[in-house]
Amino acid sequence: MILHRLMLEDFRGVVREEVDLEPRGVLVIEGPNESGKTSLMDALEMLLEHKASSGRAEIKAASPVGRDVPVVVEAEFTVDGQRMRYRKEFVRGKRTSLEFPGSTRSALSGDDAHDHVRDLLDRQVDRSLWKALRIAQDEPVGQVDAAKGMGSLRRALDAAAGGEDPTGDDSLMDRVAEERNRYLTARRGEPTGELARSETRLAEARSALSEARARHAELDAAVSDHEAQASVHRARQESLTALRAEVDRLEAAGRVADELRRARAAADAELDRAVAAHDAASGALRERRALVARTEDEQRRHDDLSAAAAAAAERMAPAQARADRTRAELEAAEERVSSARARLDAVRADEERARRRADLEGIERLLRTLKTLGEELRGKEADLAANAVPDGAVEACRRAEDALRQAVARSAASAPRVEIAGEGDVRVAGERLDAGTGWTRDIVEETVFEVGTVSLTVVPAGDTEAVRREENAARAERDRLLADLGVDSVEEADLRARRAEGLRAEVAALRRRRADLLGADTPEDLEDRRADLRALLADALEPAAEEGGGSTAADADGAGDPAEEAADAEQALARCRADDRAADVEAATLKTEHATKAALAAEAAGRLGECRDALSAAREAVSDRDLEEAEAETRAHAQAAREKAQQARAALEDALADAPPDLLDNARASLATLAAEERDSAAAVATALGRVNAIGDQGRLEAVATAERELDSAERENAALWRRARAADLLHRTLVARRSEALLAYQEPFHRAVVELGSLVYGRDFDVRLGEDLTILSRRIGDVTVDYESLSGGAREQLAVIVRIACARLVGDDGVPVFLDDTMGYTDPSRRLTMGAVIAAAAATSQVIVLTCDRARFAGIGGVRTHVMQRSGASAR
Amino acid sequence: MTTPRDGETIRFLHSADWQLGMTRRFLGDESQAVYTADRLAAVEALGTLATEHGAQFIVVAGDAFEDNAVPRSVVLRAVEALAAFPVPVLVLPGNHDPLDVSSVFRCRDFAPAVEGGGVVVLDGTGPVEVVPGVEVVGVPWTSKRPDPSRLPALLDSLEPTDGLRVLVAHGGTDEIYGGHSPSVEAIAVASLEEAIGSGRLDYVALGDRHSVTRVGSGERIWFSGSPETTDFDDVESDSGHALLVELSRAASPSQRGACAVTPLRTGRWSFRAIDARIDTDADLDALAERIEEVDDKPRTVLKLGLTGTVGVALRARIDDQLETWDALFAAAYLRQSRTHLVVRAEDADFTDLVDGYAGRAVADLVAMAGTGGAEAEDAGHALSLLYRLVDGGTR
Repeated sequence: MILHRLMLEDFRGVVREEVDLEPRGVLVIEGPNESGKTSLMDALEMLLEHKASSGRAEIKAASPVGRDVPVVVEAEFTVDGQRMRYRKEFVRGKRTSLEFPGSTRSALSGDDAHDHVRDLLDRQVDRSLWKALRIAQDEPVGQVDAAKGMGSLRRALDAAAGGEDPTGDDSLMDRVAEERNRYLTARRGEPTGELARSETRLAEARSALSEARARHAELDAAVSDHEAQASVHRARQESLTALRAEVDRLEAAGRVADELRRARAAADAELDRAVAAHDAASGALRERRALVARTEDEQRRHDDLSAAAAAAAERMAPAQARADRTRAELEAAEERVSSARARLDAVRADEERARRRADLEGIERLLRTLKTLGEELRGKEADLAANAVPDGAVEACRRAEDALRQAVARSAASAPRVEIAGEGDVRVAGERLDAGTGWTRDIVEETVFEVGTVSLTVVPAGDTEAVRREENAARAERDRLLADLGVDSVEEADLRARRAEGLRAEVAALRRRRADLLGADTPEDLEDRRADLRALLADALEPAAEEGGGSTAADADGAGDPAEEAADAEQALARCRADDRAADVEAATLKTEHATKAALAAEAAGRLGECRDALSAAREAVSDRDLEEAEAETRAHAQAAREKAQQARAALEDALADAPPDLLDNARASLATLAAEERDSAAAVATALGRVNAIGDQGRLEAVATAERELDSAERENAALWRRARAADLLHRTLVARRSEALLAYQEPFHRAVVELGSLVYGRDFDVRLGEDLTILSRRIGDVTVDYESLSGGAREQLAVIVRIACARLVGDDGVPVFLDDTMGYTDPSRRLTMGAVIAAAAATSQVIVLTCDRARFAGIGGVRTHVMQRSGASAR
Repeated sequence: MTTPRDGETIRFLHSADWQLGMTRRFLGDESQAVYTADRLAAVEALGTLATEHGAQFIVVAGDAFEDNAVPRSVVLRAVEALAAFPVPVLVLPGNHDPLDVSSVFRCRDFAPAVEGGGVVVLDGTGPVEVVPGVEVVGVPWTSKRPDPSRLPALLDSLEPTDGLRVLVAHGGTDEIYGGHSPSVEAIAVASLEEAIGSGRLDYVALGDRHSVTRVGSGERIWFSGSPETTDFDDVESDSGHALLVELSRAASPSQRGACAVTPLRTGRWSFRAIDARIDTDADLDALAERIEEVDDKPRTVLKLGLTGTVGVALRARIDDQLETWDALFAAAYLRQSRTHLVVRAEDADFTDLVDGYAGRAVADLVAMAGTGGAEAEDAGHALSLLYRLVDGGTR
């Protein structure tokens, strides 16, 4: 749509305003506030949208206050290549006219005109774009929803994206979404509507069937319960019958047992009597047999003891004789031991004296040696004292000698040297010498040489004196040191020092030897010991001399070692003592034995007599035979009674084993319990039967069948609905995915257009990030990225203008005019110039109409036309 | 027991498994009402058949009722139907209606049938001489739990008879079920044949299997099947009959009398399980023709297993056709376990209808439908939906 001219009369405060537009380019309509700039846009909107006859409030509001005149709006525009002049008079007159300048086509009026224009606009003008490319003064500057419903832009983007083929058919998407949303919620995809109702129905049907089956199962359960109860009842009846039979049996058995118990008591009593009689008879017999046996025993013991006493008497005499003999041998042995010990003592005293004498001789020898050694040592020590040289004295002499030598040399060096050669005599210091022998000497003192008649006096130089004095001092020092040592030369001093060293070594050697000889002793110790030994020997020698060679005691017998002899004698004595003791003990033992045996034999004879008397008396009373017969008779009787009692006991035990009394008591107690239980179970069977009858009459199977059919129906309905829901959901998801993909493809040309324009304002490093719906998500300049929502008002305003200009440029001929009503208010002056370039960029392809009260805001738009509006409504160019 | 005359032929009807009170969950209310009525009618038809064929009595080999807890109306209608029978009816309690404390045969509503003498419940107390010279012995179920000892005990107690003896029993045979079914007794066929061979039995009327089935090597052991169809033809092959049994008394002790068994139609319903491959419209047309030929559609249930690869339009046709059949027949539905229709988009389906991103979405769905994965079926339905929305849209 291209707008050529817009005129309004008596529209709000505007008396008349007419604006002419070029098919391309920017027109700035400038005017102060209240001058009616916005009314131009509103008037055009009113002309295109509403009938002249409309009574809408906004139309009435357009009527000038206090004036009863029509509100006239007239516009010339071209749509789809057809130029039209379209005029409406609102409020008053309510006329509409549509003319086609430059065409033969007839003019239209009234509703025909209105409908024709509406139809044309609907078909040819992108109404969404129309709205989107208009920034109204009183509307916040928002984003352009460039992706939704803007057919022109979509086509343009499609072309720019290289021929992608958007269907642009969002109605299909709407129908699919509607179909999906019939079954599933839009956000969470949960069942809704018919499907939700079906889910509920299905759940209820399942629940109902479950309940019906449970109720039906109750009949089976009741039947089973009845069966179980009946089974229990039958079992109890059988148990009761069996128990009653058992009680009867036990009672009968009890009676039999009582009889047997009495029989057993009688048999036990008879047995007791028989056993007592047998015990008495066998006791008497045992006593008789014991008496006989004891008499026989006493007889044997008496005989044995008498024989033993006689035998003991016979063994006693030889034992005594042996004891006497061993006693004599013992005494002789003791005598031999005494003499052997005396000889051994004498030999040991001789040995001690010899040892002491040897010790004395050794000590005396040692003392003599020590004496000799002491004298030699004292001699050496005296010699050493005489030749002692202090440490370092010889070295000092040697150093003084060296110093003198050096002083002499220096003295010689400082004196003139005279050499005499040739032939003839020469007198030197008055002495003559033959020059032919050669003579050379340092002159250290004034010396006169006479050669022939010539006398030469050689005087040493002055400094020679100092040298001479040093030499003399050195010599004096050497001589003093030698004198201290008492020697004449250094060599002598050295010789003396070496001698002293040799003497010291000898003295040390002698001292070591003396120490070795003494060991730990001192000479005084040795002398004390010598004195002791002499005293001991003197004491010992005296008696020996008196005995006249007592040390020969061992030799007296001439029989060998007295120690061995003493030991042999001791051994012989020990043997004799042992023999004596043994013989003595044997003799005493035999004596005691004989006495004991004799006493026992006498006692046995007494007891034997007593036994014989007792046995004779007893046999006189009852014979042995009678006693034996009585025992045998009572024993047989007792055995018979025992067998009888055992039989009675076994019979009773058998009877009790078959029917123990405890069993009967228990059976009687159980019988009462079981009878009560049997009555209970009979009642339970009746109850269970009643329940079966009650449930069986309620037609529960029918309820199951009904619930099954309902569930089947609900399941099939639910499955069908889910099939449709899944299909719709899948279709919706697939379409959304593919549409998103297509939108992304459109994004690129749009992005390119926005960046191209934005670079004019923000520089080459400007960029934006776009959403699928082509809204701006963020702006980047250089490294700084800012979300759209965080941008300043000015920046958002600038982006809004950039986006609209980009849309306008992309749409081109296919587009609509861009209206910018009083924008750039937030934009700082430094940006206005570059924003002017952005707006100017649309001039080549689009109509841009800028409405402003401040021309300076748009001073940066190049090649612009300006239309000035006056507050009164009168226009000026 | 009196003895039938030599060479005399005894005729009776052998039926079983009426299962009165049974419902089919896939039937709607209306069809279910018809089915219920027809099942009772099939029972009533036995009376007519007895008259037609000169049957002297009828034996029902178990499961006359679906359950002991059937609705009272079912019992009352059954009693009314039995009262109209021209001959005695001997009914054996089966595993569905065991002779336990809740037995339907012991309830007040059933009492008139028994008290009138027209119905004898074979309660196992002893042989019943239903007509002179013909003895019927039964092995009733006394609870829902199998008791494999009952039948052998009864057979052991039987002595050879000069008359005719019919055994009525209920349960699977080892020959049919292989003895593996835990809920029914496995009746040893050999023991039955031995009893027949030794002259202790002349015929064995069995119940439990809903199809007419001859058992064993001879002609004297039969399952009569149910008088009305109860399941699809891939399970029940030959139901909806009663058996006319004709037994002849032997002319001499060394000879065995004849036995003839003839199935008589009693049922009207059919449950058809149909599998078909649909790849083209022609395939669907052929199936439609085949189904159109089915008689008595209101008494027929269709269970369809469809496989194949179909276009979106054809898939929509199938859905339409199914809706039609479901209205026309007692019930018609797709059997999900045997249905696998892969939907493919044909050029003609969408090319003229959608382009751009919607066109690419169609391609996605077509690919998904062809994978056979979990979403394949959904993708097919999604294409059908798109087809419907686009076709019915404003475009």
